[in-house]
Amino acid sequence: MKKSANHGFTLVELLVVIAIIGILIGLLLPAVQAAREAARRAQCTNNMKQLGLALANFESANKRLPNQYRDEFWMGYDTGAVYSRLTRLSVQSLLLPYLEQQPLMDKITSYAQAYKDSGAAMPSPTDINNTDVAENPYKTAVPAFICPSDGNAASLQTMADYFGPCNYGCNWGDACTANGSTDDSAIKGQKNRRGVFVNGYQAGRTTLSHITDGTSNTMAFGEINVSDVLGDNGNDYKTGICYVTTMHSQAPSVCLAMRGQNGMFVDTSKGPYAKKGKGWQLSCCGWTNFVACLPPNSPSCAGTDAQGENTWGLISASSNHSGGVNVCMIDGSVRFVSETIDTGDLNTIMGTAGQDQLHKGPSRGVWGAMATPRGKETYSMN
Amino acid sequence: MNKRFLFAVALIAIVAVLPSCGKKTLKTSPVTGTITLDGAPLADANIFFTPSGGTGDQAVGKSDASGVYKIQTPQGAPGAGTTPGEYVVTITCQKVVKEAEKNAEGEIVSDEVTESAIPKKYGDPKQSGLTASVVKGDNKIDFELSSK
Repeated sequence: MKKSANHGFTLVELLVVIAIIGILIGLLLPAVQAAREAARRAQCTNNMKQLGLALANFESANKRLPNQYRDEFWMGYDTGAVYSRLTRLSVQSLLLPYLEQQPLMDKITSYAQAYKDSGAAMPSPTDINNTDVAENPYKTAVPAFICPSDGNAASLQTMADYFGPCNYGCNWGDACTANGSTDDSAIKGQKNRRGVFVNGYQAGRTTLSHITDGTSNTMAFGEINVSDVLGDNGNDYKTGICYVTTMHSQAPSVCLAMRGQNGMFVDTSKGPYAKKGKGWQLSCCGWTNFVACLPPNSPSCAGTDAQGENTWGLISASSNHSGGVNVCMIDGSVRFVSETIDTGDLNTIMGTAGQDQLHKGPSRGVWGAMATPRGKETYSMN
Repeated sequence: MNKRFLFAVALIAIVAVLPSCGKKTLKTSPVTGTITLDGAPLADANIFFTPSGGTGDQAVGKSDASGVYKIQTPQGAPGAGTTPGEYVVTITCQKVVKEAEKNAEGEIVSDEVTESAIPKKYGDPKQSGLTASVVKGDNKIDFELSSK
């Protein structure tokens, strides 16, 4: 036995070695495949970091944070009409000059100035068929707003007849919120938001000194998925916005119950549903925002209108990265938030439009605490 | 020979154990049943399971046209149920009584009006009087509500 061992391996030993090598390759192969996604994710994180820097530069230049609705910059182009089309332009649109997109910004402002001078009614920023200008500025895809991991956004980038997609949503707080609508009731809803980028009606200017929970503890942006414009009718629960009656006065978990089989909403008959990340220009429900209430990669729901464009919305952060989403804090740091983050008691109802939600509201755990700038919550990420 | 063989066995054991260092998933048991109001199936009702004892995980479900619900946890698969334990159950059901109004441009000028199709006490964890104990394996728990 000893003699033969000196001459070479036995059959059993060879088989064992081959088996071990096979197992090691089996372990390595998925890692090689994952390297591509890891590269896209790095690019995605980098884009988010650039957004954080743009926000910091905006703050340096203006000594305030942008408003997600009725920002004073856009109000400067207000035509004095009952309802100005520019009041709903997004935080992202205000950051364009800080993302090396000054020409695009100039295009929007010169267009707005022309309408202000002529006194004519301006077409809505949601009007994709607007041919008033040779080229609709909102159709420009801005690479800084696109996460390469999101194939839908990447393909939208190359299509001419759609708005430029947006993968990075603004933090709208930890409760279902309304957005730019025309009437007073919606504006009251605006006042009660618990996010960072408040509207011009209420607080006027938000400065960094208003972020009393700390700029490294409060989110500025989080990822949202962009819908497949050609395929799924908004039925994909990560990219669509399901219609749920009076979502704003129900428990957030009601929206969780809308999650069905195969990544679709449970009820696909009421579609086509509204779509997330549709365009970077508009600060409306699901276009450029998210709410930190349901954990990342949960379904999104909105009440009142299946189109979800000017209604109450519970828009969940979502991404194609496995296990969670990237978020950018106000100080510019980017963190990864797991799907299993503490979200508190999701079975308690959200406040209604008339209540003051600014300083009180049901606790939404660590996730909710990260969203509120003045929540007085302390939390630990780990 | 013996030493080398043991070494090989140890290597295989280590490699075999490696994949199990993954993420933990909840061990849920499916929970289903029927919600009825005065004996008739209640459609489109939201049902919430909130743990009342030391164990359990929050879960939620929605009833279909025949009043049948299935529950799921935030990270669980649809209909996967929740972990065994004692639960307080609340049920809400909103019906639209007036549709939302839009202006000529299609923007909402007034929200829709809804009212509860069942007594509001069923939605309050302190007053609902509904409880459930979820056990390992399949659970079938029916809820009979009364409009009085």
